[in-house]
Amino acid sequence: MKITVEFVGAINTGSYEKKQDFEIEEKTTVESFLKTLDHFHESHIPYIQVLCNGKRCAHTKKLKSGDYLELMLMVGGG
Amino acid sequence: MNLERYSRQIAFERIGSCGQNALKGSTIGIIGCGALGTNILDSIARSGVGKIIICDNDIIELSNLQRQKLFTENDIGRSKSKTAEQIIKNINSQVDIKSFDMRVDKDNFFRIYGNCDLLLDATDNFETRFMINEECFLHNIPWIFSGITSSSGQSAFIYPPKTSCLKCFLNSDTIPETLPNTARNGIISTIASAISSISVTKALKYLIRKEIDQEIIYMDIWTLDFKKFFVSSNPRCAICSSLHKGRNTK
Repeated sequence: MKITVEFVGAINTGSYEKKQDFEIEEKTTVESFLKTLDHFHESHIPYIQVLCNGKRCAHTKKLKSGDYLELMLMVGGG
Repeated sequence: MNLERYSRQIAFERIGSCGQNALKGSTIGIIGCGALGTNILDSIARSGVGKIIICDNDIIELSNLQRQKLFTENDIGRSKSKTAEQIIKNINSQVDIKSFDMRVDKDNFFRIYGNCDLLLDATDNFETRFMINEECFLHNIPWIFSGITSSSGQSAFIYPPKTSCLKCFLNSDTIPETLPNTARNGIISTIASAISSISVTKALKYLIRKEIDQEIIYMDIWTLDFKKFFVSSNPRCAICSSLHKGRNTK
């Protein structure tokens, strides 16, 4: 199934476009999808806030076809 | 109190003279006196908050001047907190400001900030923020989390059970050293001003009207991305879950 992902702000896009479609398996969770993006340090994943179709979602959420994810990394400088 | 200084702010109907008096009677703590801290401090002092407590154990360096608004070349090598205190006294002598040239930790937190109506986080690391989250929860002090790096930043009002706590949405026991920071990833000064302005506005709304913005703001000043999102409390949160049954708040 297809989802669309937007990398927002300071988050590393790796080799991906700022907004890109991904093919994922049924019942993939947000967390397992994030782990497939191999440019993220696994330890950074808890610091990534995810909006699914405009609403913040937990990393345990199961994704559906057509979902639109926005990924934001919480930053710690001051 | 000479109100002429605040006449334009009082003319703003959502503040008015009642709001101005509320600010005068309030005590705000600011942790950190860097890019966020100096921007926040400048706005808070000019707005007429009666008492301000600041804490930072760092000294001013040349590389700070690009974004740390209060300081000048003449201040290099001086204490950030003590220099900021002196500058704020010159900006607004009506403000009672007290500075501490030390690092805040669990042992001195309550002694320094225990009487604050609200705390503003202007630190540069998550370790201190998790400590603030725990101490503010323990002592029932509302606080505003701010963070910036490169051209991005976020602001969140934290006061469980009215809001989630920091651990509700950053549920990690590890703080990766590789998270973006200003030394490695850089920063532009405008994101410090923008996030500080959002956090100070949240602070004024709380002090004047006890209004709490429950949504987290995330923005990137370069790409002009601006997101608002709500985070539900985590009923299994290691810090604030005991409060979900309700607690009296200020």
